[in-house]
Amino acid sequence: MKLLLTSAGISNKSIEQAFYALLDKPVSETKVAYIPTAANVEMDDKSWLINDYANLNGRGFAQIDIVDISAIPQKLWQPRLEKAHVLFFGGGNTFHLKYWIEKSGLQKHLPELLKTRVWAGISAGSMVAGRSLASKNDQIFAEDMGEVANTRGLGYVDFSLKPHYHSAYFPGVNDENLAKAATDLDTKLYALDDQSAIVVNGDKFEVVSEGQWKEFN
Amino acid sequence: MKLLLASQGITNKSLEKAFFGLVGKKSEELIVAYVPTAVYGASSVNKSWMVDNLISLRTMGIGKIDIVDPLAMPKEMWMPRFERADVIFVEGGSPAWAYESFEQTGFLDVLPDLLKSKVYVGCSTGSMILGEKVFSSKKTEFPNSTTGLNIFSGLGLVNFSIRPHIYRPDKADITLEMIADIAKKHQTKYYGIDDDTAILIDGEKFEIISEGKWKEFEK
Repeated sequence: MKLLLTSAGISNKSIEQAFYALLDKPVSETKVAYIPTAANVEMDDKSWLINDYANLNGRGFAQIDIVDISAIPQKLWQPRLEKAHVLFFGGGNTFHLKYWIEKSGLQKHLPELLKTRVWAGISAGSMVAGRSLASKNDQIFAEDMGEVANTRGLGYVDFSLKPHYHSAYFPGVNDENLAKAATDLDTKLYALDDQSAIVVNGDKFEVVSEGQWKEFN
Repeated sequence: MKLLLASQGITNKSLEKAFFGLVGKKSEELIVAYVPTAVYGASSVNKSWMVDNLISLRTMGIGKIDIVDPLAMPKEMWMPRFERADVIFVEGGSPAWAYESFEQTGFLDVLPDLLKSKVYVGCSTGSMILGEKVFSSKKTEFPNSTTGLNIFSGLGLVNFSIRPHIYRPDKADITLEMIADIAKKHQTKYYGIDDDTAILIDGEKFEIISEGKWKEFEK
């Protein structure tokens, strides 16, 4: 499986290079499907989402489809995801995204889709691929869990991660909270700042960073 | 009612000026609720028009841009987000999908009431659905369909109908003759507008704002 798990998207040259290296084709032939579902329950301004769209839009991909799996039926989203080479999961509420990946039926198709496609994630879209979305007493993001009963992620990688390390917008992502959260986890926990990403390519694991990141456990 | 019914979006300075004239607020104080429903239902796999319009709103310095799809959440969640907004911005995409979704979610029921105090900006589908009649080529709506038109009644908040994107090469399957024909057959006045044009409604005032071309078709 090929995954690019970012905190804030393709935020620098190193992450860009790592992302392009995961692709089988040149950028101009690569089709991206962006899944904005996690953002739906985030109230108020969406500048961050617009920035994420703008970041992708300026790169010269063959196409950028926007596929909200919570808004359209499977007969519409499935062929559109199949057409894409990159499934780009955007940020927002991690539990809302997890809920819809399961409820829409996408979860059943993901293992097959990801045999030949790259998973790229931003924030919630990265966390959801990990083992745990939040540990017990984990107040790092204090996300509303909605109808989700447990904190399990999809587990496509054998670690958990927290984005926005040291970000002024998310003061909860600090060393003290992370260390505490890590003690409740039976997995490694990676904290990534907005200039960092984890690249997984089969058995290969690499942290790509022009900023700061930290490993716990 | 304050409406700016555009073809592609707020694509030039004249349209931008008309927009700020309608809202009567500074851009940084404005809250826009952007509705992407029609985009998500469009069979076209490239959605760059949505990104372009969002970037253009950001470039205009709009204070807050929320993105709200009534299909993707319960009414308790979308309604307050529209109520909070100064502008409801309905994006283009699939007209049939959007109209049906807006009907099914109850958005069409509350829209006339919301528009007592809010400005409506439509792009393409977002403009068409407010008119008396809506039509588009079937192949843009249904990927497996080859020819023919999909025609249905719109919300009728204005007493005419709109056909966007005229003179655009990639929309050449809809000809001016077809618009003229539908205007007569369905007894509705049609305005064909290009991507540099919008129709402005401010109470009794009707104005066509354009840096491009438009054409009127009598019923």
